[in-house]
Amino acid sequence: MEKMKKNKLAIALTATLGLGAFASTAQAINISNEGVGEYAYIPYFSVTKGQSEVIKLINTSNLTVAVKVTFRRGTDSQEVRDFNVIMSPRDVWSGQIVPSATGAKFVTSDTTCTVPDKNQWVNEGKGAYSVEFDTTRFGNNVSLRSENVLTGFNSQLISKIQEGYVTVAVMGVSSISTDAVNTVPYLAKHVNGVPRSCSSIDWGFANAFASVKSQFSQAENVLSVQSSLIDPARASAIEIPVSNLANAFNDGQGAGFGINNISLSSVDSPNASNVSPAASDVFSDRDAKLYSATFDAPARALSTVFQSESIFGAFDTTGTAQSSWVVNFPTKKWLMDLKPAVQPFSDSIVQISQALTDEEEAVTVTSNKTEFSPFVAPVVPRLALPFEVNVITFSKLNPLSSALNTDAAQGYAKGWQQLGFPTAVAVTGTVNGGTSGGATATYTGMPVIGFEYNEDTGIAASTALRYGKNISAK
Amino acid sequence: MNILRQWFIITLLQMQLLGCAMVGIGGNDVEILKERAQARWEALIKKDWDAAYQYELPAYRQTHDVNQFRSKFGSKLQWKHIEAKNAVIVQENKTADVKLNLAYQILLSDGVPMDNEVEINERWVKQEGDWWIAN
Repeated sequence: MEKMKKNKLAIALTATLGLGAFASTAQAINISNEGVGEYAYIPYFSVTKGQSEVIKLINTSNLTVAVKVTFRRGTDSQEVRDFNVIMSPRDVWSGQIVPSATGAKFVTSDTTCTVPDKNQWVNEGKGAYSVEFDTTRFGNNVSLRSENVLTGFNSQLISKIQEGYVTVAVMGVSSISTDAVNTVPYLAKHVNGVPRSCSSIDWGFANAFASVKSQFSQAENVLSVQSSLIDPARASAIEIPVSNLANAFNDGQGAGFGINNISLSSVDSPNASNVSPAASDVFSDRDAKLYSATFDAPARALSTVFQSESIFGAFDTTGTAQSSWVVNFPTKKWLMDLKPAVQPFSDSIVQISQALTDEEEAVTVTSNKTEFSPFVAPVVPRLALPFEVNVITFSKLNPLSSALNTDAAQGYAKGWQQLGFPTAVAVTGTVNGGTSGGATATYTGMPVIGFEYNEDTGIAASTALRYGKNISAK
Repeated sequence: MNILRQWFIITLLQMQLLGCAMVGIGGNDVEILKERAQARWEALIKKDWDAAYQYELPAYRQTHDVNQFRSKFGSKLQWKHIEAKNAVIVQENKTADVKLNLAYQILLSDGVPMDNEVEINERWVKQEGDWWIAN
């Protein structure tokens, strides 16, 4: 008890230490080539079939890292739970989303410190602790600009959260030595497999937040995030393709201790609206150019990183095979909430054009023979995807048992499909520096992430959807 | 008096033993369900597919052989331990739900094995006087 008091006092005093300052260069958000970054999107979680989804974080650095893990419902990105994880240098933390009576909950047996501390979680026994996803905070209220999606909602979807996605954000890092007594890094450091005092860190967040914040500087690219969707009873598992983003939360040059995105666990932050600076670096394969531009809103900058003119992938529903595509519009909530501009979203319901091909190159949208005039062009099939996380099914088979499903009605048992975004509004930004500095960069398409899911008897596999970028500068 | 008392005690013990035996033979559905769910999973953990197959519905076994049954399962993780926690009769003599704790090990993408434990829920149905796994 005495030790605890001492720890708490020390947290409060640490702000006065001379801790120096980091010199860092402001950079623009980009997809990490190394799978290590500051912000990660796990595009889908599901417990609809009794699955569990494992999430694993690896701190690849010698720094103490404060992380925010946020779970969002698939209908409209409203937050259903978040908490902070304080990772000591080189620490690995894991836990899993599992079914519960009210939908889903997060369970962990990992001893790494969390805020709230484990004593505020439900003790599941054998060293495991859980926290339920919240279904009461938003109730039937959908996100601000999603009212016209209401027809697509049914109360089941939001009264029992079983599908959604997860974001993992580095709020800040600390280079304070883990031997500096009673600092957050000291308290979070594992000794004989257990952190020194997670309850003291929790106390610090609740009662000496300014001091806690002062011990961290802005985020660095140190976190690797992995996720697997597991069906334990069937012994099957797939890797969920995670988007790891680098340079997401960099406030500016010379950021030092106390300049960070550290937030209380009760606050939905940082998120897409906190991306800083509001700039992105996107490489376009089409013209082999790196587009670096600045935008009018942080979420728009993030959006351009994911923006694609089209997505394509394969499907197979022959025999016992089944396929689904998870299509997530990760910035929709934030961009739809921006007024007056909503680019690239023109409506809450995203219209999708389909180009379908079977394995013999037969297509649904073009004629392969000569035609008499007047020729009536075939109607391009369209889908309407109402949610932020959508699951496209094929041949009305729903292998993920998703309630966020829309059937492709593709007409072929096996083939590939390309989806376009005919109603997308082009996003524009101002090119940073270089010979094109000041020019207008234009990004077409929609911000989208996801993967195709394929299963046959006893086998399941996933692969990221393929994206086609279209960026130009004038 | 002593002989009479001894006889009474022995008879009482015999009655209790008989009672236990009767429960063991006829059993009650909750205990039977837990035992069958536990035994099925112990067979699965041992990869004794023939034994595990015997808990499938009679109708399923008429249309699917043991190889088809085997193909329902993948090999992405290794089952380690099973513990039947409880059984709840949903509809008398028709359906029941069984909760079990399953421990397994999985190799995540970074190649590091991870031990995990989850609660799984199974629906069982009663047909031809016995309980069978329905899912």
